[in-house]
Amino acid sequence: MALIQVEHVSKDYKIIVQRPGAGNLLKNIFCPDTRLVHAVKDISFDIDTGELVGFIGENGAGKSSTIKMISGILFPTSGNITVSGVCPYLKRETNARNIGVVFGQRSRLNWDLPMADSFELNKEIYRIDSGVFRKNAAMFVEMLQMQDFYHTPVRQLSLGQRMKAEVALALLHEPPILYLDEPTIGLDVMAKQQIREFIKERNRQEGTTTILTSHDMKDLESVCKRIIILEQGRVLFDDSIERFRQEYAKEALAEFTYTVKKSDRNILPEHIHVMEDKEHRLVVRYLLSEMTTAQLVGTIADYYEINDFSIKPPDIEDMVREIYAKKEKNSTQSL
Amino acid sequence: MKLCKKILAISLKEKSIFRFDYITGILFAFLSIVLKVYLWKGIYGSSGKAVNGIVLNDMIVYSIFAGFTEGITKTSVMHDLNDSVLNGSIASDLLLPIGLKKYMLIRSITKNIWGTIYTTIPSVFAAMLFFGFHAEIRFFPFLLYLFSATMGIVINFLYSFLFGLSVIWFRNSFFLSNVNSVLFNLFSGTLVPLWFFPKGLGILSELLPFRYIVFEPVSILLNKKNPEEIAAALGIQLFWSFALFFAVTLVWNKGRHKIMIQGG
Amino acid sequence: MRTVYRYARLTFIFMKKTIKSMLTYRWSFLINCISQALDYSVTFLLMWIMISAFEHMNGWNAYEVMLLYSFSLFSYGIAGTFFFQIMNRLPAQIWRGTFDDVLVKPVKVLPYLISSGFICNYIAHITLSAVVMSICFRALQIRIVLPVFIRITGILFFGSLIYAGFFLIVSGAAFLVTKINSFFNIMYFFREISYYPISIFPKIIQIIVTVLVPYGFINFYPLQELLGKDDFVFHETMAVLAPIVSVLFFTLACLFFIKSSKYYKSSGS
Repeated sequence: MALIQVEHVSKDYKIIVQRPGAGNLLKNIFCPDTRLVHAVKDISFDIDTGELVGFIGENGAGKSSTIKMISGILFPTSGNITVSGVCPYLKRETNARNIGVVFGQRSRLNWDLPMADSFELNKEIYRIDSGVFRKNAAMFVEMLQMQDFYHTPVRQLSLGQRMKAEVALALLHEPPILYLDEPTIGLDVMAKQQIREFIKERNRQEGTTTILTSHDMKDLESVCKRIIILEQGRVLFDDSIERFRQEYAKEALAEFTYTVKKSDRNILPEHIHVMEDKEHRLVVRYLLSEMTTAQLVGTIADYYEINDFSIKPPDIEDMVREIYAKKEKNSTQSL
Repeated sequence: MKLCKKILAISLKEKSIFRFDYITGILFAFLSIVLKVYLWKGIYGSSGKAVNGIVLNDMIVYSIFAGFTEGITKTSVMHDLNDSVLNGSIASDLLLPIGLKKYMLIRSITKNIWGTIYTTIPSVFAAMLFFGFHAEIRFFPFLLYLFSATMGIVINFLYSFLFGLSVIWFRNSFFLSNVNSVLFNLFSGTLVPLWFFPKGLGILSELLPFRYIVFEPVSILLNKKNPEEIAAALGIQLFWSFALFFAVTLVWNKGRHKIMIQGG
Repeated sequence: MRTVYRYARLTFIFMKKTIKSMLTYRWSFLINCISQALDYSVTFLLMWIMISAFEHMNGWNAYEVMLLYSFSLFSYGIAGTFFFQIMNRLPAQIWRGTFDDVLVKPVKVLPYLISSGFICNYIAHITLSAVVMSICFRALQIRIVLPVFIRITGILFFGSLIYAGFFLIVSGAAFLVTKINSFFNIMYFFREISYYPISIFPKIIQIIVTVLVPYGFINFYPLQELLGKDDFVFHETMAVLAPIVSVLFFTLACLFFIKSSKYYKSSGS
């Protein structure tokens, strides 16, 4: 049996619509006008022990609602969910012991105290055995290099330091399942890298099943083995990251600055599209299936005297939009 | 004048956003008058005597008008100053083509105009209907009341402004503003008129400006003072207005200097 | 029993953390306490001035009324120490969706909120009302012998339960409506009524504070029994009923809170 089973789950929200105007005041209070929003529509998927899964979708696609339902915060409107044998929203407390959760945009740390205090608090809340607690705390501090700020009040920490502490805090009780909602948003490269490595390491050592949502393609590429794309409450794609890349991550952007143009740009090979070329700045789009980055740079170097260059990997938002557009087209064609 | 209109328009907008809050606001303003009246009824009802010549009806009328006068004289200038110094917006306030004192006064008064029209007057009116008391308001005391209450506005504003300026030096006027609101509650006569104060506290109240903000104007309105006493009260009000004005000017000039040097 | 022990332990740990983090802001905390104490002292003083000028209020002298007030304030302070923060935080937690963080913990919601909501800010209320109480008891020549002390403790305990109930009802309302201001206002308006002998108010208010919002049982009914007053508004058994009413009210408030918390929709992202 899969560790996480989601079967035909839907979630509707009732939203209250305020009628404008003073005359509607009493009406708004006593018989509010409601509208039904279908956030999640009949989705199903299984996740096995030890999987590293990335959730992708635009805001409002149903990512958060799905994560909230499998973590026991919300009841689904219909359908069934089982997480390691229990129903998360009916047995919320039991389920909570099995999961670690990090919401990227909010903190679970006590602002005025060092993270050490929040760790201790979690020891009590999750009833972690003293030996396990000491072992994990020491290990995590070591792995994420938090020695220097372990005893500093959290309000004096940088965003990256704080997020490392959050992730460590969520794993202290050795949960078999970890949910991470935008854990790297706004962090510097170094901190991002450390957090990714940490998650992978825990997965290797303990087999921690991880579900991650992110807008950062790098996060997903380096951590996840499987991608689930949600769009307007439906599962649009559910397969390995390799398949995902083959299918959708086709083009990348590259930006060059150059001193001299050796030749006319018309001669550039046809799978390199020039987007912009002025004031010694060249932006091109190229097919990843056709050439490697090294080949691209080599080709461009034949035509330009290059100073510097940067590669922008395909943007997830763009990809999702493309995927969605494709679906739309297919469905209209089938009509 | 244009500026006044602009400030008024902004505070109008701020107020009209929360209608439900507005209605409950009136309701609870009304209920707090009701509460006060019943307290006095409870006190008079049992003993039935007139202390210092004040009878129950006087106290009901007093409670209502003291509530009204407190409504028009109150000011949030201490709080405003605290915020604008701490968040640095005082720098842009200083760039306005109008003195800071004048600007803050207009802001405070427009806020009160709103509070008065939309909360105080309806609740006072409701209380009047509810209790059906009779108040003999004569024309001349009413005129004197308007004059005296205006000075009450000025005194409270200048006083609060003066102590609000302390934020420039202490970085926080929280404690001072609390102490002041405590002193105001005690000595302004809004809750318990000074007629009933024991001697020592009565004398102390005469040395402080608070009774000249609410208590004196209302006693004039209720015709509880003879002409000499009225003249004395108005004279002391004038004295406080001028004294506070000079103190504010002095302190503000120093404070402005400090703000300009340190950039707030 | 193990559950009780667990949350008591958790409360104790949160207490330690709260005090530790409070020490970071010890000066503003101290100033806050002094301000509160001053504020309430003036209310006591005005009460004393007002009633002394007339000797009594419906048969209650100044010290007796001040005793009513101090019992109410003390109970409020005790309840506030554990429950105020729930009411204070919850609307924002619900609005921003951060209540999620509580739900992903392996804890029972209400006990956890109580444990984690401990604050020391009511120390001023509690100390001041204790001081006023002792002044009043001395002035009224009531000796605090052991049986009296036990009764006083009982009154304060059950009074705190009623206040705790109010905090929970207002907090619970936050799950159902977007703004809890009106609930909040009602609670504080009637609190003010409970400072005075409720026999001075019209019958309708007396019924409300006995049946609908049982403020009368916090201080008025039990105290008139303690002071041997002959001012029973409804019936002599009211004082005996106080513990029952308070436990019942608190239980209902808890149930209301737990029921409403099921309506949590986790807005925000």
